Amino acid sequence: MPPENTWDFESYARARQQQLYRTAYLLCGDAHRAQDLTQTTLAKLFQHWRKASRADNLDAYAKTVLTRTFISEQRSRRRERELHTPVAPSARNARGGDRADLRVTLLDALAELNPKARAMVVLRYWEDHSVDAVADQLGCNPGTVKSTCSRALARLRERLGNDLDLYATEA
Amino acid sequence: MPGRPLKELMEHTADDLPPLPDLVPGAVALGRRRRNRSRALMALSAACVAGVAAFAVPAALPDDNAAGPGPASTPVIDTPRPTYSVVPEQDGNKPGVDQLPPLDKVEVQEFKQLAADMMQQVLPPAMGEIRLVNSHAAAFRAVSGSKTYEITFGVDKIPYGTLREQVCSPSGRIAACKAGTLPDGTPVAAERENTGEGSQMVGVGFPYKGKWVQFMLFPGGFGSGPNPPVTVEQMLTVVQDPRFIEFIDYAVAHPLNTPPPQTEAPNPSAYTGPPPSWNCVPATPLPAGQTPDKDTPMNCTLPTGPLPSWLAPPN
Repeated sequence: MPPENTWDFESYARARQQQLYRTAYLLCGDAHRAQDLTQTTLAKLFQHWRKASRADNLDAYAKTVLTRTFISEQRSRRRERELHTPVAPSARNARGGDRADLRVTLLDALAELNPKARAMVVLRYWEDHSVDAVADQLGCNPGTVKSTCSRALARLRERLGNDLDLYATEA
Repeated sequence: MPGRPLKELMEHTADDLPPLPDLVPGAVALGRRRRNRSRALMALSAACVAGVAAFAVPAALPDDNAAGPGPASTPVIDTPRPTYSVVPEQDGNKPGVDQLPPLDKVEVQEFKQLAADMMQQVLPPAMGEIRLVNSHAAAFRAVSGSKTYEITFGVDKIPYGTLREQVCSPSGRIAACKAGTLPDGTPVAAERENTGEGSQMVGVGFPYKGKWVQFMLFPGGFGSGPNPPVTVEQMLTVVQDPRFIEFIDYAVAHPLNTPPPQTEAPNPSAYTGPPPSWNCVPATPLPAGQTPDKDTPMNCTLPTGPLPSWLAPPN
């Protein structure tokens, strides 16, 4: 694997698109949108490749682009929904014990978070980024990341309940 | 400590994803277009700033029916562009921009953001805030308090059968008209037209560099809202504004690969009739009461500019 500063765009994009796609899916909860988000992210990287390829941590840079693209799109989608259509409660309900249901419940629970909180949870607990790194990526202070993640986890626990621990012991 | 089980659950959730096709070729194409658009926008902004500084667009305009003030004279092009919100079509049934393929969707939304920014700057403030309507590429809305206006703005293929001379001619439908020229000599006539039951639209539609530019302001609420507060003099000044000209030049150079909102031009190879024209008259006088049909020999002339290639008479 070449060092990051010698990547050419296509090699980098091919090597990382799957990982970006997975992160995008956890952010938006929809495979088609995840594909769109990934492609938009890669296009933005291509657009600014000269700068991006010189980043200290290109993967973190790409994740920042992805997360900000998601938040930006989510804001306009939410504004549109709030203005013109009632938000229907999710038809998917948690049924404990079944792994597939638990995954659906996770996506539903993530969907109840606001876009920034969701991004924080994904970056912090899926990408294993530090509090400081998440704060840097999302342009807020570390205290906000800590408190938001704490509240978000409380909500996830509320929705997932004991399933989260059960799943952990089953896995 | 919730981190570990949550991460595992997230990993297994992401495992459910369908396989990902190779996004790189599409991303390269999209990125290249984004980069070109970005460069074009920078050139456009620089040209607009220079143009406005040179010409200092006058703020006060003549008024034909006590409408709002003229276009703002202080452009804010060199500041970061605001993002204009996207709203659905009034009837909610038309296919949205969201349903376009990803590349086209991004391209259309970017184009519409640029167009909205231009409109926000050149239209009289009484029109209010510009929004992007999530139907076709040419659909916009202006919102001023409780008043809404629908806007159609597009630079598309020249439509068949709608070309007309850009002059003002008396008509029952035309409530007001003002003709003029763009800086390059292109004739254009702005009209306020009765569209029924007291409602009126204000707009222009003119051929420009092989494309058809249309910019029309309609009452909102399916025609039941107030008429757009723009006079024909203001409309003409808007389309003569250097910012508008720069933008349509940009749109001509960067055509969108999406269907235009109105009738498509026919396939030139399938066209066998006389060339449509601004001004066609029968080659020989017709008997009284007879109107020309598709077989009637016509003499047609264009006021200015070359005949679009697809309109050339068949050999």
